[in-house]
Amino acid sequence: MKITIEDDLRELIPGFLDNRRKDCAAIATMVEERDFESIRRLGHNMKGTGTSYGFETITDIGRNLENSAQAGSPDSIKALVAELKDYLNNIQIEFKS
Amino acid sequence: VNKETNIVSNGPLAGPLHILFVDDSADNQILMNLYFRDTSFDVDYATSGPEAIAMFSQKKYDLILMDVEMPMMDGYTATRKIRALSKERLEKLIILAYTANTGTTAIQESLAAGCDGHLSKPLRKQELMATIGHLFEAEKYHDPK
Repeated sequence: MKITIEDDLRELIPGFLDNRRKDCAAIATMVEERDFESIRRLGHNMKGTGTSYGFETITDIGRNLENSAQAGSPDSIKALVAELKDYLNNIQIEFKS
Repeated sequence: VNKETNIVSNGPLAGPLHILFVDDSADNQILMNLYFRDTSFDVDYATSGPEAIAMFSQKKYDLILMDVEMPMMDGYTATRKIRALSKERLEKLIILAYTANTGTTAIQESLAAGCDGHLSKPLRKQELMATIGHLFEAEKYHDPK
């Protein structure tokens, strides 16, 4: 899956994606603890930042995570974390100036 | 006036624009730091409502970009407190809510709290700079890119 991102953002991308990988691990723990409010907040943050960094899919997953956390739906949250992990593992980034 | 380093004279400001960006998200702070890096704006960052209030009590700002959803104190509460301080000090201040919640209710709430307007996340650099330019009548801001 190829993503094209503006070159201005190049230096920020590794850190941003690392943070999303940390989110995946954190959410897995939060689901076990039924800490839906923390999951909702992480989803809200992804929703608000993904597209700004060039990752519209992360905004979409964040929005769905926020909704699933509000609904208290662990299965849906786990599926979204799997989707996010898959996305992070398979994206190929091209930078354009 | 040096148009490359200062907000120009036909706006209400004589010197550099002082901006306070309030957001608990490290990702957003990092992004804003990049957006503002090549401008002449004087930008400070706060990670919570109480920190923003403390910073505002020590310094005059022209513009505050206020995240709405933060732990400890939400952006609406922080806006009300800062707005009260700015009125006491008889200072001009523009506060823009900066939020991923874009519904009509969220916008009405931000206006009721004392915000002057609303910026939606995700936010592109061009949109942010255009908004600032419009608000402060800046003919040009320093951005070599």
